[in-house]
Amino acid sequence: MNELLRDFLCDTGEAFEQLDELLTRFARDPADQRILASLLRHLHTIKGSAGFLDLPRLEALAKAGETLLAGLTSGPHILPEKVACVLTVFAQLRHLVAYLDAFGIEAPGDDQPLVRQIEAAGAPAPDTAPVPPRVQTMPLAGTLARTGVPPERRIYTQRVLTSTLDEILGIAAELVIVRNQLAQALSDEPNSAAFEQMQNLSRAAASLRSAALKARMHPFGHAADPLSRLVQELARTLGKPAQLLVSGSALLLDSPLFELIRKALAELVRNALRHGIESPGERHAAGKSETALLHLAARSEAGQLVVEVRDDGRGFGPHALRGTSAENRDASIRNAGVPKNAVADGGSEPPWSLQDGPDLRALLPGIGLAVLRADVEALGGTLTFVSAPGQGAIVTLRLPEALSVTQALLLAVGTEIYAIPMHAVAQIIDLSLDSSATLQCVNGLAFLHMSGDVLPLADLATLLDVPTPHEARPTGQTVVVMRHGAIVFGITVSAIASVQEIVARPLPGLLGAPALFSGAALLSDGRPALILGPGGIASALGVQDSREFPVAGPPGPAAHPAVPSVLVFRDQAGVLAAVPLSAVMRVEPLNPGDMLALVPENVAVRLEGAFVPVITREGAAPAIRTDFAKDLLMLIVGTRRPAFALVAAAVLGAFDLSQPPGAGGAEPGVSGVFQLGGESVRLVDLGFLLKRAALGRLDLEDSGANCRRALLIDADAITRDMLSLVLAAAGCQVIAADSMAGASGALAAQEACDVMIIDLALAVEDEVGWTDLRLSCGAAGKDALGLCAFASRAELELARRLRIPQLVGKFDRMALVAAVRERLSRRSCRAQAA
Amino acid sequence: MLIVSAGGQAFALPADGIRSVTRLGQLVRVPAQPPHVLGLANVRGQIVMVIDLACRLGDDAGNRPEGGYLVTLSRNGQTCGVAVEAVGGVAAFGPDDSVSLPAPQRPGRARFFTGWLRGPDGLVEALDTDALCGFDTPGNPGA
Repeated sequence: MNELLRDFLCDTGEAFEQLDELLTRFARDPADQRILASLLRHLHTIKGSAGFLDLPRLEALAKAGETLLAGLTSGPHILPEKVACVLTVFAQLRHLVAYLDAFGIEAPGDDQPLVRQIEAAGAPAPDTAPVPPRVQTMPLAGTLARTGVPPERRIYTQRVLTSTLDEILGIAAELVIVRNQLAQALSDEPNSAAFEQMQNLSRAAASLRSAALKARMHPFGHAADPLSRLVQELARTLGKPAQLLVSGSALLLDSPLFELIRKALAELVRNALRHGIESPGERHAAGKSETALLHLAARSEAGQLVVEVRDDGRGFGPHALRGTSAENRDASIRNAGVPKNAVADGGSEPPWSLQDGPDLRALLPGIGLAVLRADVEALGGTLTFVSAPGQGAIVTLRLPEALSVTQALLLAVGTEIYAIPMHAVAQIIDLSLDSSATLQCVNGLAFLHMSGDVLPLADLATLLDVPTPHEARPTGQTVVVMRHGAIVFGITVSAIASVQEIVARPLPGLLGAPALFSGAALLSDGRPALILGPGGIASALGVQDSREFPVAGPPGPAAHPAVPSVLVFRDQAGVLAAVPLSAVMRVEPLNPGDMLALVPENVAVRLEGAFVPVITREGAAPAIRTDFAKDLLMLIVGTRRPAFALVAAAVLGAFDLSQPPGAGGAEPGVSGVFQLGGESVRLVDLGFLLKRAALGRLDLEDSGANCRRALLIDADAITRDMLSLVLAAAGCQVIAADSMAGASGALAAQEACDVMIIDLALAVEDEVGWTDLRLSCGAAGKDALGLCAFASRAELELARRLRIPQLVGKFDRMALVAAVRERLSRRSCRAQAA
Repeated sequence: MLIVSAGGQAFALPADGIRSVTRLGQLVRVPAQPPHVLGLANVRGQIVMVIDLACRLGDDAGNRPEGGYLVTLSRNGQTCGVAVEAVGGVAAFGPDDSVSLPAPQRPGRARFFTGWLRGPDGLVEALDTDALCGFDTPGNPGA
């Protein structure tokens, strides 16, 4: 039995416990609207979950019951026969759930006769006395006895109060403090047995924290990914081809939010397909792809969980109300329970349920939305609707996060430490090392000049009124470039302290909500730290309404902040192509005089004192002689140092991708294709070009090493991409993998590596895999480099145990490059000596 | 009642809302808060706002001595830490121990005052912890 089904059974079991009392009260007073609303809510939940889990009998029965109850809520008189019918529905549902619990599958059979009887009972004109439905319930006990399911084969689950899990988390945090005190006490005896026991305690505390978190948190993907089946099924039934895209799958959600979001997504996806997406003919006529796109996205934003359901259908607004009277339209909107002020597209109201016609009884999706909205508001959240007529619609759920796990950058500001969510960090610049970025003060306001951009700058010490004693490092040397939606700005700090995974919690309620902070967290050493909200800092800087910086466009599918910006250019053959804007350092004219052909296959330019390979979009060296006559440009790709220069004939500009690009097909060096002004644009595969550039670079630098493969293993995609660029810029051919298995596979395909760089946390997580890999890699495995956020005593001890001789900080790129070069040089010397 | 001292004077806090009494450890400052909010502390895995009792009762924030104790109070799901200089212990008071005397005249102090109690070492000022910690006005530590 899968996890989702077990959850459904747990939920339904709890619901039936409440239903017993409700049904008793309903039988006594069937006209009580509050009881009817509660029953309706239960039935709606069962219907939604059953549909989601592909349990057609339960779904059909719950749907019939829902229709019946919806009729009762509007009817002036409730006949006893209808009451009996409602009770019958719930009795049969209970039998079906009991069978499902016992056997893990839905009971065979057909409820259609019963459904028809229920529909007849709910009919509005009872000229003749309705016949109470005869219900054949299953002889459940007998069935169980016959099949003889042994009780030990059943999987038992137990509901635990979230407050109990919080208590366990608290105890784990307390253990960390005790561990720190012990470590302090034993710091003089690192080789003692007590020190070893302390380390065991430390590992146990970490495992306890992780297990307690796992019990409370679920990845968003567990709620969103299974919907692809629902989408396929509905697309087939409705004859509307559709594709489901999910982003933010790894975002961990707290249990109560997860349950609500799972139900909400199913409801909203169903609504979008039934009512928002047009038929293939209509889409074709409107110039759209016949396959509709549904995008589910989750992100954490300033202490709130934001979930978006976006479609590229007709949208909803007055244009969707053709043929419907104004009276019916207003009634339907009221019935859908959508508040007028929730609509943000210039006042057009969402006739969510009107596509089926003006008969309100047929508009169950409207009731579903009202239920959903009530559930969201009960958790302190909001549900908003934005429509762009003819382009699509976005439904956004915002829910306050009670708890969230996030990667955070810890900033030292004077003597204090603050955390910022890693997803808000665009770049870290050390001004003492990076001459391309400069500070400027104009009329008391600070700005950062960087790569042709001017960013507003805040000094955190001033903003937070941090006392800065003489011994503390002054702020101003390190700038963290942050992104909040489309707004980019910088903050100056004293130093980067480390990177940690933190459990973000709301600020203590007694403090109120200081605008700069989105929450607080306990750091690994047990100290509390305040989490800076990017939105709060942007507001303090006054850049929210600034016209100097790009801001989000009008609401609609094109204004999604999670979609990357790309720089679109035309290559020498006239083909349109694009690279992620974040990877382009600058664009320069390609001066033929600067180009050097050191060997026939490799061309380079000298940039910032180093030779940088020049390559075409296809990854080849440009033919110098024929290109001399043209005015060419080069896009300098890299992060802090140029990794390679990409040849372009013209640059068209930067664009936000309105939707994720389609697959790139078999063309090498192309990771995707999207449409721009009716023309196809190829999204360049930077990894492919980096490899080509690195191959070219081997012959450019005279280091004596003729083989420079670096194997980088890190589960975090951002770190992997960032360090790949750094290593490529340092002249390595990078083989990147997200796991030990991936690394083994890559090595099998590409023979050996010369340097191995492994994330320490990953090695700890998969110690067996790491040992296998290390032993299979010979000298590189013996001399591996470990990556960690902060090399504390505990990390060093872990590295020693895992036979990793050196640790470098994930954000200390200079140290990483130096360590890699040292290893390559050593290997080269050994090879020459041999 | 828990007898504590702050600013050189003894006070009585109702014992029913007290969750723990520990030595005052490391605190993390929260910017832009009133002077009596000392910062955040980790109390058994929970992040708790800590206020200074003497400062809350009108003393100058700069006079606070180093060290002391942290009394953690809970009410209706809200938790607050109160930093005091010393903890005298728990004492039981009966109706006869209540002394009818006027409330202290220092500005802003009267709203925390619930009465005078006759303790073993003299008169003790009983305090309303709901008003002290802001349990009655959450989100406004300055109230």
